[in-house]
Amino acid sequence: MEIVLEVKNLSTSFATEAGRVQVLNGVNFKVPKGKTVGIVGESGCGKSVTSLSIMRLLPKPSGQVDSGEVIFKDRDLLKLPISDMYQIRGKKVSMIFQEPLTALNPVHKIGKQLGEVFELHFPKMSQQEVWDESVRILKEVGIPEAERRMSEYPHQLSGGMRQRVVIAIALACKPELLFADEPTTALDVTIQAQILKLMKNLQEDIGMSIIFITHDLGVIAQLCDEVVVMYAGKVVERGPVELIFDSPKHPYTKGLLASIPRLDHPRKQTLATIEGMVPDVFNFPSGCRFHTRCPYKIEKCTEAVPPEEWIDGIREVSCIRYKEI
Amino acid sequence: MRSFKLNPLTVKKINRFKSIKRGYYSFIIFSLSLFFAMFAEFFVNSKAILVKYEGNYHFPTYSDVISGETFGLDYKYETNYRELNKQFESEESDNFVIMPVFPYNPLENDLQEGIYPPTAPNMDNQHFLGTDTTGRDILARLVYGYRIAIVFSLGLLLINYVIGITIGCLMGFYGGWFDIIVQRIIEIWSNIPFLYVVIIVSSIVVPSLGVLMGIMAFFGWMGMTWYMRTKTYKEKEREYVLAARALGAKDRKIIFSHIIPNSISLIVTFIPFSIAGGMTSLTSLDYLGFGLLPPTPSWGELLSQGTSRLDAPWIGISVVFAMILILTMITFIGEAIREAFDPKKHTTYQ
Ligand SMILES: Nc1ncnc2c1ncn2[C@@H]1O[C@H](COP(=O)(O)OP(=O)(O)OP(=O)(O)O)[C@@H](O)[C@H]1O
Ligand SMILES: [Mg+2]
Repeated sequence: MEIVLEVKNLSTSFATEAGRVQVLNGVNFKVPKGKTVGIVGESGCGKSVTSLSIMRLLPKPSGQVDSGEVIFKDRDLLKLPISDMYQIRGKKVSMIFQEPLTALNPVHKIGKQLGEVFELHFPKMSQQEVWDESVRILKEVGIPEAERRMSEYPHQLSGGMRQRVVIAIALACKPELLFADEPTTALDVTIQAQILKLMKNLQEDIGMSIIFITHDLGVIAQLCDEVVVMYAGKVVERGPVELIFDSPKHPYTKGLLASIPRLDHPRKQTLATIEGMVPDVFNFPSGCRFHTRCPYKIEKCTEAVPPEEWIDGIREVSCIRYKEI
Repeated sequence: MRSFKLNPLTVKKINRFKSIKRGYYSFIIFSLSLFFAMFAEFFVNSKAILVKYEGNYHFPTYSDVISGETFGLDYKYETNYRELNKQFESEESDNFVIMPVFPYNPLENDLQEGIYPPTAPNMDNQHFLGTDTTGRDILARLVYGYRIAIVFSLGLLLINYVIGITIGCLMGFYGGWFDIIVQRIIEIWSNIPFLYVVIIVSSIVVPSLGVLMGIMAFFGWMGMTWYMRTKTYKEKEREYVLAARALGAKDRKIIFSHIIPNSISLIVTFIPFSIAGGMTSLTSLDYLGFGLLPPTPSWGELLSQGTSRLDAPWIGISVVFAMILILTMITFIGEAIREAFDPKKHTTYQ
């Protein structure tokens, strides 16, 4: 299987008033061509920082990638000159943000914002071609009366429409890889389903890979081929969705899966939750970072960081006790 | 196909501005005053607007000197149209002269035998606001002085804003050391004593409008940098800026298509106050004698005549009244713009 993106040992830290915080600590994962990879994890575990680090969009100068490689089509994005990065962003690798309203500039018409991408990456296109292409892509993402919407402003559109516009902008240049950072959290459930379906369809048309960041395991099950489970700046488990959902190996993944309500379980049963809180970035626990909340914790867990171990050559877990539990 | 509608939010702002009556009316009157000032030659001038002589029409307003001989007079120098008018009226012929409503220019000394200037306002000789200490028509001097002051303020505003916005924007955008160093430079710069520099410069070169503008801009560009810097700091953190980055936009693109357009409303609210500021400073420089060289018409020079000649109160009263009128109108406009652009006013919760 062809790999579009490979993230190796990515570590990112931020300078804060209270000192440097290590937000990512050796993140590893791969994105196969044409597939969707979901990244899940609790709030603050570093999902957004992962995508920003890869795109080299960390806030400067506080955010900084300390080590690691991001191989996109045989090139390390972290080592490219920034001018090459400008060419890749929006054309080869695109990004959709969480809030559809704030991702659009309130003072420009939809047509202008959409046209801008073409102007950036295809400066030779004529005004007319840009306009036609913009209308075409708006129609493709399911915006009715696309022509009229072109000369409207973001606040004149509903939330779902805006998110469609944002998707249109991100997909305008037919990228090979798309980061979708919780693109549907701000939308209601029906719209959410429509948007997800749209993304799936567009993915098939263009043949791109998607990295889908979310809290919602339901969405992962529906949309993704592979899943990466993150906890406190590290990947704790990754592999094909069915395998992970069927037989989670890491205690954290088990906890996450047990906390989704299921119809085939007796109704009165209370939902399982993971006890305790996400550890503070300033003092991560020693050894396995999950040990403070882990029901299977033994003395050895606090001593060394568990290695990432392959199971059957297709999935990976970092827990020293995965075989016994 | 492509319609050019204004942003509905802009339309809302304009409507709101119109609903603030005193600001809106001040704006209309002020615009009219600008229009009249720009075409002052047609309203306040010693040259006729139209002369019909022996079947030919002449339009002297913007033309070169037309010698008196052209109209059958016995001199070669520029025609005195006021005299010509009187002459034609008494002749009962087809010839006529149409004079501007205020038939004096700001530079001529209208001296009559046995009368010593300044002369009080007088309807008969058409010095509606009287003459100044050298016999020049005060109204003409006010109008042309106003025009110079407005040109000065607008030019100054343009220079100040271009420099201030550019530097402020760069400070906010690049931040870090660049920001800190430029901040310190500005702090030192703004402590240079302004008046001394003006005195020194005007003792070396003749203070023309351009030189004065240069000196004023030298000290005036700093005000805008602070606002622009803060605004840029705020704007560049917006998610749509990050989104634009993710699409491959470079710094220049982000500044010109995201930061500047979103700063327009901030900039617009400052414009009226900058114009008022520019006019006041030119007037004070002229008043102190460091401004434009005489005999350039100027409010400051009139004001200093007014204060030294309290026995001719029409001089002082005219110029003070004109200043109050213009500055009040500009303040009303500024106030209304600020009201109209205040984003808190757009949404109401009940
Ligand atoms: N600019 C920053 N400066 C300092 N710390 C930051 C900065 N941005 C993020 N962090 C820290 O990095 C950690 C991970 O943040 P991130 O935004 O990646 O979380 P996330 O997994 O995307 O969470 P969510 O699901 O809530 O979006 C957090 O602990 C956060 O405090
Ligand atoms: Mg996030």
